[in-house]
Amino acid sequence: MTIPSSHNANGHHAGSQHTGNGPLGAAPRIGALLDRNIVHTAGRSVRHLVITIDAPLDQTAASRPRLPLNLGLVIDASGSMDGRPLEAAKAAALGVVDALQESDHLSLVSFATSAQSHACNVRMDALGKAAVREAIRPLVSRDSTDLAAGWLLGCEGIAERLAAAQGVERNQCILLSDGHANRGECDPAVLAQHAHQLRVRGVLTSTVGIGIGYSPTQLQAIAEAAGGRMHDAEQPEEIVEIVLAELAETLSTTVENLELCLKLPEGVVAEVYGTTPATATGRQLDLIVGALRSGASRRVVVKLTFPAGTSGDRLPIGVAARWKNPGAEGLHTSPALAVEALFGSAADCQAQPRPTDTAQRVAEQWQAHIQHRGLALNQDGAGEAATEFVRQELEHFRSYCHGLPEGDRLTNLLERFLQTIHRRYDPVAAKEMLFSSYKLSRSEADLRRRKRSSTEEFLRTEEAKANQGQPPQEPRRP
Amino acid sequence: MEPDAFTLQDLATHTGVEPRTIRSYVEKGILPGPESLGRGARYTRDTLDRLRVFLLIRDTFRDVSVDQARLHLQALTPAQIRNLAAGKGKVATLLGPQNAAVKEQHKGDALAYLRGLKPSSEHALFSRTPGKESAGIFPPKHTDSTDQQPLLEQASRALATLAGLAGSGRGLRGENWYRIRLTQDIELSVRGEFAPDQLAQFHRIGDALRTLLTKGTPK
Repeated sequence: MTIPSSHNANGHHAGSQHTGNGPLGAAPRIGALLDRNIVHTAGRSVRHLVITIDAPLDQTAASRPRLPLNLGLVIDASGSMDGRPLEAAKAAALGVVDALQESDHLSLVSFATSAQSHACNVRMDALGKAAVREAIRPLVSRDSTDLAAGWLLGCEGIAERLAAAQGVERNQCILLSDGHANRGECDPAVLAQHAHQLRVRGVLTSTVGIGIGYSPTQLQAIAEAAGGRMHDAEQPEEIVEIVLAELAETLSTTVENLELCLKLPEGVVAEVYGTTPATATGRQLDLIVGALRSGASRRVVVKLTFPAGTSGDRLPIGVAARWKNPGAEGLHTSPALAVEALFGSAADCQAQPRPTDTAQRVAEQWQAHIQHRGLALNQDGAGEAATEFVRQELEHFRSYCHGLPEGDRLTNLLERFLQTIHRRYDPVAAKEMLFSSYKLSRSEADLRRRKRSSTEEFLRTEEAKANQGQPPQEPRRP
Repeated sequence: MEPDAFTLQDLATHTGVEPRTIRSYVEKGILPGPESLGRGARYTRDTLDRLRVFLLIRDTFRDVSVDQARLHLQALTPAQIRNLAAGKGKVATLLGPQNAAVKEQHKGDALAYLRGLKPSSEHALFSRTPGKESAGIFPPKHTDSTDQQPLLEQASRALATLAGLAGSGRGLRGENWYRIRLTQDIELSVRGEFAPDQLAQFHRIGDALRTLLTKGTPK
């Protein structure tokens, strides 16, 4: 994206222009600022760019008809779903049918060794609902897991409706799975590529991981690249509430396909904290933020390492956003925000103040980033690499947190991680922590009602195991 | 003043687009190929202008796919491309109405993409043509040796292939047409359903034909 020339000179925080039409056409509010602006002339200064996105509130939703929904529901019916998980997934599907309106369309697909379409583009009038209910009830589990085939068949149902629909609808797929894909396309990078291609063609996907055995790598890759959300439903009874909550989130989405575009000065190296997908092209960095529900806020933190320069020289960083409003044609682009770094001496760098609330936000995202990356390495059986990663990050994180209100707590948490992360953690607890850091890094709500163990409790358990000399967990193979 | 011949790296430096991305644009028929081949391959100013305008189109209409942006680019005259690349005029003004039409035309993009993912045995074109393998009609990927064929030869081979395709397409249930605009007045239309790599081949064919039509005998 080319940054438009009309930008806010100080640029630290500005609302973007409202270019949409009607209540769903409002623009998100975008803000961007650096935690510190002065960078050392000798180079290698690290600064953090904090971008905040506030989705517009849809205050008139209750007083007007909502957009029709073109929904695909894709259910994993592999052998491991047999029993309560599949029954809960069917109950969730029945709940979705009840919640849909006459103007909506539903495609229902189940997958195991192969994918089966049980309903394709069925209008949700009384007759259609009855037919889909009849299709859901006899669903039974079958063998292995071709997740890609099921998901793409579900998307095909949506795409058929999309091609034929006269008006604008919300096109959304919800994929429920409890297992690693072990048939068909399993590579998360390829799945993400398909998800991206479908997103730019108007089909979004959210995923729900069921139980403790699901593959967050594949479901996360799909949800992120598809501009949707990933949810966790560890217990079968949570499936219904999560699916219905995701449906509610879909219907309350006021911003879709939100992408950020950063224009970086020559020589600046960028690293995005968390799991936000990013693509660098030359000096441009594009980030996929995805869908935001009415009133939601999202923070994205980008670590920037600056090159050497001359004292007094300025380094402008451009930040712009583009998004789609559900029900409106085309993408909107915000005016660009310009954030500037300034080359200065070591004394200048030391003397500059640091806004505490901004630094606190950076520390929270950084901590979640370290936790997520370290846990992923730990679960891959790369204990030494996980230890080294956390150790190196902690070295800088400790000094960054100095003087912050929550600094000691966050640092202490990572120091405890460092002591135990060489041992393979219990997969159930590790998955929970991965999910928690994932949600934190995306500023997304956890839709589950049942309270989970905190990071501190999880670490306490792992420390106790280490003290008792218990052997670490063996790597789990799907 | 900028020169009139550019290496791939020059194009990358002028536009900030990675060389491999530019190469993929050439393969997709978005940009004309180089005037000469080999390590010192040179691209014309027209390629640079088209690349700049292509980027402008994608910036202006953020929701258009690469394929849609290519259609927009092909709708512009050489003079319009030169002007837009020089910063004269607005893409939105020139292409706004067409963008709405293209978007309507591309509501079926997701469906076409998904159907393009299916194995070729599931394609109507091939399943209805016993004994003909998809790889025999179009090689799945282009090779360097193809790049080095003279344009005229490439176009002749392509036309022969197209003639074969047109024959095998008879009796198809659907009426899916792919149209590749060659010039303002001439387009190449192909009926059937095709995988993305096959469509890329069509665009290469379009490039060769376009070069023949606009530049006379190729080098």
